[in-house]
Amino acid sequence: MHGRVKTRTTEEQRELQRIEKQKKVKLYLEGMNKAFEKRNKKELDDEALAICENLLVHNPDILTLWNFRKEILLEFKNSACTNPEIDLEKLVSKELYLTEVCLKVNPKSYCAWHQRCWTLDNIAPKPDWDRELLVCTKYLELDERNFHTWDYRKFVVGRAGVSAKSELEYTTSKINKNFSNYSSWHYRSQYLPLVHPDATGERPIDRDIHIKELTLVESAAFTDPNDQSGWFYQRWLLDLQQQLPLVLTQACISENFTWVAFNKPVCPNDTALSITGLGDGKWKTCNGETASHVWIKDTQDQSLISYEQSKLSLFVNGELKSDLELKLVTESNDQQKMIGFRKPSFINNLNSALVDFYSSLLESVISLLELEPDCKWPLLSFVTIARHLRFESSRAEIYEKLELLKKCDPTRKNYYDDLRSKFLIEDKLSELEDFTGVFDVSCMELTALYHTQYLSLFREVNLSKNKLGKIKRRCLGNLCNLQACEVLNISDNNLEVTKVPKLPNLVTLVDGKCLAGQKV
Amino acid sequence: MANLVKDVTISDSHPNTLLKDKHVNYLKSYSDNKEDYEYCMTEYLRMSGIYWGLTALDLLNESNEESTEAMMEFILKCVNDEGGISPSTGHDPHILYTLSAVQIAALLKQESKLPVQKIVKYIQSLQQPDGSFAGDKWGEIDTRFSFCAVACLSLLGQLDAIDLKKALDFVMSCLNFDGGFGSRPGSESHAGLIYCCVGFLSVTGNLHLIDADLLGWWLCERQLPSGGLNGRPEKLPDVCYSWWVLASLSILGRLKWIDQDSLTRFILACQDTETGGFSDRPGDIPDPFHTLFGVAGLSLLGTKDLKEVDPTFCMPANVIQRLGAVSQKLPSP
Repeated sequence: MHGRVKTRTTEEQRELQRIEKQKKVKLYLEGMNKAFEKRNKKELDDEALAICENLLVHNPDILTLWNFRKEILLEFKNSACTNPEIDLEKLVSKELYLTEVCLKVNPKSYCAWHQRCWTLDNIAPKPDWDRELLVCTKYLELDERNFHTWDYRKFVVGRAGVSAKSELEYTTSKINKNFSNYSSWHYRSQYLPLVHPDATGERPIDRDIHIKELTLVESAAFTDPNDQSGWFYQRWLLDLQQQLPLVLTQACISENFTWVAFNKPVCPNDTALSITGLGDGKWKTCNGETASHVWIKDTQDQSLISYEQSKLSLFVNGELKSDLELKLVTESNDQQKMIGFRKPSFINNLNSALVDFYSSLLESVISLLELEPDCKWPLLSFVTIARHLRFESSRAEIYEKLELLKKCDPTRKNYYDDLRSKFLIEDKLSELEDFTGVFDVSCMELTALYHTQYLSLFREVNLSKNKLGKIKRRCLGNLCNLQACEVLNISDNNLEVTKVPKLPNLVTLVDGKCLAGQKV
Repeated sequence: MANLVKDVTISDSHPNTLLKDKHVNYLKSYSDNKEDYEYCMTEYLRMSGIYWGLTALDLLNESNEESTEAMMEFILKCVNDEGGISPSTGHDPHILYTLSAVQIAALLKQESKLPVQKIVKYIQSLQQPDGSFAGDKWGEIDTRFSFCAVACLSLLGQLDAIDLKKALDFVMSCLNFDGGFGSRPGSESHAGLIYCCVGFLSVTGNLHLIDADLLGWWLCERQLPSGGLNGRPEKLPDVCYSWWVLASLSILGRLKWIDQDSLTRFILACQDTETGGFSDRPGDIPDPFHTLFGVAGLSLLGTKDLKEVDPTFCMPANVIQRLGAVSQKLPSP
């Protein structure tokens, strides 16, 4: 029951309502009994249709009655070949009309919408899809956010063979009329890649169209900077660059234990993936789930550790996707292992045309912020664009803007804190040349731990004096990637209960309760 | 075109503490008058109504054991020849009510009395060649039904009875630009459908396929100044959307991205101080549907005196543990 306001009524009004409702209940119960009786007797006739209709116009969600009508319509359709008196076209238009009446009562009635699709697909001798498209256009003028109508439009467009180009133009006209319509932007995101695919196949849409689209949404979003629809769409367009390919980022082969780390979580059971250069043995996820960033296995083959240098190759569907050089290292206890890592990449490089365009977009956002310095959406847009451009000059400003966002949108301050933590960890990882010694992100006010897949080789990880304890019952599940970690410091984080995953090489856990040096 | 935020105002006149006894009373007496107008008009979803009421009562630490036998008798009367379960006697079976019936039986520790193999067969029969699920034999397709299928099978310990790979492919084909999901490929993201798809991925252990930061951001953007959450951008807040957004965020390990205090305040304000029960928004008429999602939401937010709820199944966590129905949850970043 949605949006029914409870109103104060007098005793007299209540009595009238009670009598009115009693009457309705009586009619309902009688009607349902009659309908069930007709159905049990298999009386699939006009009278049965009328009984259902009378009930459905008051309550369009009684699915069973729609189903009964379907049975009757099918019966009529079957008899139509032998009985010329049956006018299927008329039956269909009556059924469509009934769904329209019912949709006025409840525009979100799933079963009324489905009845309409079903009738056109199964009963109508010649569905008039042009008319149906007009119905959609009309309904979307009455309520441009009803997702049932948009879904129905998609159904009709498919049946009528309307071109993707024409639907894309429809969204342009809807957006020109009212850009504050999330549904139109969504619909547009569906058709854009169909109409303007990228010839190189590297991105979802053509580069010039990408820029044109960013310009369109810029003018929409700038007209009313407080309207969220356009900004959501803009963030999607800005991040279209971010589709990073799967790469092997780190690996270690030791005497009895091997692991590899990827930039994305992947599933060891995925037969499309294979890694050569590692001998036999079955991979497992390091977290016990279907997929993980780090895969582990027991090493059987000692000979893998005997080479001075070797190379791992990741194949996806038989195609070489990524290589990783391995080096032999000798530990202090004379144990030898092969390790390899590459510098992580968090964002794809923009090509020069996009760098120019993003730079000019950033300038516009800055001008907008001069007019409305506390406006959330341009602030967030600044952060997103500047992050893509990676100009050293704007790095500090990104963090300043995130602080401002926390002030002007306090509801989501924890989100901005986590975003800040993510950026800080990315910045830290980007500076590193070596990924095997000590990783220290203490005293950074981190509220979240991102990218732990790049920490798999560090011997010592210092996360102390941060703010990781903001979450109740936080489990530090992401730490499962720290396969080489011997010393882990999570102290001074206000953690309530510290549940650290079991790590194969962990010797010392500093969690603030047990002080440094305590063995686990 | 001025963009006014659609929202409600919460004042001191709205309740701000949990009216536990009133809700128990509301739920227990809901079905007392079988000729009541609201009761009759919701016959077409009775099985779900019972699930909402029983689960809410259980989360409120109120048992309803005295009605166990009658309840099971009713469920068994609603099982049809093909194994599907209808919302009420005389009505047609549907996957929505099949799940509700299994949930009720599980709550009452009576799942062994269900014709499990028949139900499993019915669910199998609804899977389509593209992996999607129809709600019933008439063929309406929706990701809600994909969730119902795997949730039902998981509770019955028979998850491998269907083609999970294809089912997964279909759900993933409904992924949108904003990281959310809709009811069919190309349908707009909507908190209810997101809950179903995230729930599907949680039950089947495939949450790694989600961009949890992108979707988590979209979900936390549903919170309005009143503290309530809406189901889509530019819509009014609602207790049921609050649950769907909250449960999804919880599964994704990003519950803290919303302001929990103001959401608690919003849900409490939706209580009816006279009759008990929760409504969609402060001042509206309450119903069992919003009462469950109000109580479940408060449980997820850590309100005292409520049982812990499982965000994937929207059932008491101890019931899910007893059944061993494993579902994945992402760790917080």
